[in-house]
Amino acid sequence: MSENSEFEPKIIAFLCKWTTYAAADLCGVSRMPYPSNISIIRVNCTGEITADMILSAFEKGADGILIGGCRPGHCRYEDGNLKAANRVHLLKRALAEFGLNPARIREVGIAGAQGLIFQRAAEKFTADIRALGPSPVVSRV
Amino acid sequence: MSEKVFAVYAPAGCGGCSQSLLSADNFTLLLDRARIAFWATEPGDLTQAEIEGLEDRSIDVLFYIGPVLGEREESYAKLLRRRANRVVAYGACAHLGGLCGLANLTPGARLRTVPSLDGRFVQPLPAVIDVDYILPGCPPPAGMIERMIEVLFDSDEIPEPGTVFASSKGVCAECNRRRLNRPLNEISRFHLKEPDPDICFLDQGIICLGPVTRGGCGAVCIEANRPCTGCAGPLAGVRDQGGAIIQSLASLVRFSGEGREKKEKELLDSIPDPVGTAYRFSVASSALKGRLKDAD
Repeated sequence: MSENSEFEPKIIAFLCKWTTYAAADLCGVSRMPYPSNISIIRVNCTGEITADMILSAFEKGADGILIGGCRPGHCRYEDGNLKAANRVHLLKRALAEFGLNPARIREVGIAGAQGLIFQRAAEKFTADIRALGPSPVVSRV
Repeated sequence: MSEKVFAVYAPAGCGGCSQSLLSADNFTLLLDRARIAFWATEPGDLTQAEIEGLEDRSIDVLFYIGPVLGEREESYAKLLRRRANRVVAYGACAHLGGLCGLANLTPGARLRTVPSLDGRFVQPLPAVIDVDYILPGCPPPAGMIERMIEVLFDSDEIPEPGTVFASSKGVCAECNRRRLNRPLNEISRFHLKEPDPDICFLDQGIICLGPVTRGGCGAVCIEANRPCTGCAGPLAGVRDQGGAIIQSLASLVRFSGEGREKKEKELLDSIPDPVGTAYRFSVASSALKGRLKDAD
């Protein structure tokens, strides 16, 4: 699908408000542009993200899901990010059986001061999803 | 009260639902007061001409049993919808796609070898037509069928469209086992180890869909020392039953100390057949609905 240059992926990013969301915010105030394909949903902690939220996003047309939290051991709520990692890990196994490429979900851990790292991660993920092509869920729903 | 007319249409499925209806206590009594328009249990039992010969809204209650397989059944379901005042999706297959829905995980090319499917997906009835009421279960338990017959045939009140003839609480609310709140540190299966009949299955490391499944069945499987497999479908307000149990299982897994993350991932990887377990009855009605073709 990579030959389709018209394709602009829709990416939903669930970002932890303490770290990755702050990094995205820093990108904004520092005038470091990141792809507009990414729509950010701020969450209190990545441990708050349910499987339902991820599946609904795919059902409603998302081509990729970016989950941004903190690095292991840095969670403000003790182990919310580890819970999220476990959920996403098991969910990816299930998605692979459905035939959906697990690479459509990516987890990143970016501290609040690392605006530049968020910018790069956003660019990289958008490029990777663009290469994967449109989500197969959308064409059928 | 004038004589009511009901019909049973069961073009697919295993036949268990038709039997469950026959064995409900108040069903035989119903035959004195109601008339059967037709009782079709095979795809060829009812032709298109016969359905078209029926008057619109001439059937008071239509029990649709089994999933919708292929184009022909889809068009029949739509024709039947116009001839029935109220349609009940009877049993897990009509409600969620049921066990037949697992066929949706098979790659498309192989599905085409099943003649009735014609390469298409198994669909639950609510995905094809408007369904008034839902009677969940595989098969629906006798108590739920009897209550439904009472409400539909013996009372003047008309239940709200969308009524599910089951409990609004989960299976856990009806389960009498003790909850120890242990973290999930090992995965066991009920045929490998005799489960303790007094302690919650999840505490014993056996996957039970009770927390995400609609109750009303009286937790009969759990009383027989067998974990819930989720036949009654998701709780009210839950979109995707499998996703919900995947999420709760992953949250239950907890190790402490060194190498915690690695141990947790290994345990999650040891869960056998995650889709077949979490989505046993609900592949066809899940958010993804079935096999997708994605880039590698």
